[in-house]
Amino acid sequence: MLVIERMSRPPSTIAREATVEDALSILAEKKQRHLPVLDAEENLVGIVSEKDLLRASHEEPIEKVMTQPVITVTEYTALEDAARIMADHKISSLPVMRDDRLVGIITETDLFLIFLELLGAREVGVRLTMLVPEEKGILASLTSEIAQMGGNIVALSTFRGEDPTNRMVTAKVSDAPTDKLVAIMEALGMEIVDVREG
Amino acid sequence: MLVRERMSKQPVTITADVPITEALRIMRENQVRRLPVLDSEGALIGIVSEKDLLYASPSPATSLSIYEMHYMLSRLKVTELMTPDPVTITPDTLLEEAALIMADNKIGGLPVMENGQLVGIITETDIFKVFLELLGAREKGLRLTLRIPERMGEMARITTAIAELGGNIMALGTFLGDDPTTAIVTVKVVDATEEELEAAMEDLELEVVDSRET
Repeated sequence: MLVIERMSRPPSTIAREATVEDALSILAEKKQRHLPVLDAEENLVGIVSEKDLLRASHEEPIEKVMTQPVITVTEYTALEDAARIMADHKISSLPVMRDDRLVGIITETDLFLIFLELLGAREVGVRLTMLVPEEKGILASLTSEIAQMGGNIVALSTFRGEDPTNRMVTAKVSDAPTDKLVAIMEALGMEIVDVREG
Repeated sequence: MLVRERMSKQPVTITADVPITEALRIMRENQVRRLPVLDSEGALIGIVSEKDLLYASPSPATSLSIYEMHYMLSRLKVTELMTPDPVTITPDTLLEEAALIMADNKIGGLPVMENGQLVGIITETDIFKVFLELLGAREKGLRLTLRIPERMGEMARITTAIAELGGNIMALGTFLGDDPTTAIVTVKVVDATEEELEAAMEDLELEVVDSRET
């Protein structure tokens, strides 16, 4: 999954000569928390956050309060790389560039919604959390067993386990009875941590 | 994955009668952006974010003198700016439920309650870190993005084919596809070559949308 698939475009922007007050009213109107700053030639020259603006006086020009240089990504950056850049730099949005032109913006909120998708939070099914031994082919046997009993995996994700010998797997499965699912997973040597229907 | 596993335990808290200058100082000192607010008996009565406090602070362009401003800020108490009766969750709430509550209510952090006591706080940032883990963002390997038909047994075919190549799956996540008949799968694999993996996926008639070494 790449940035291009989930970025907002075209992004709202602000001119570097505009004032803090202008920027705050755009943010309020668009319900956003960041604005990329452009010069007269539409080059990206900075970014301002709601917090930067709240700390400044209303008449101040944007270029005095903006952050620069700006950390950016491209449309073809992997979403998790975008997420990692945000986490490492403690920032919550990234302008998206194509050949030095601003084409979009991707925010923590966009990534947050993807997280919900990943875990199938809005899908219906039996949700299993299992501690799975860290060995090759283990996901293959897990998913094969579910398929063989007629279950459909609507979401599947893997997490770090309790130690390097295991990992945590969360699966949301439809079309399979809960008790049978649990029995089959236990027979495979999975430790069931949590089961719920949702 | 439950909130219990990723929440910050024993969060920094404040009481309702604290002036906002002090609340801002506590936030900066502890590098947090929100504080649960407790009454004198230790019961949770609200939550206050840095942004709530910043919106209340007079802008530096105010006509107030610096003394008047400090006086005003030192008189303004957290209780006037906090969100009372905040949405809370328990340690056994699913992480994605917590994420859903945050997204649906547009809030960045949730106090975690157990038996009437505040036991933790979970924020967007905590959930963000789990997201990085999910996609193996910090693992090395070959990262494939596949578009797969939404049908039974598809995941089994993919993971089996990777296992047969001797590949080890470091991370795997499923996303919604472009329409209800497809899904997008991102998988990070070690111990298999790009050519082998792409060939295996083509044998399964799966579309490789993207492939990269990380």
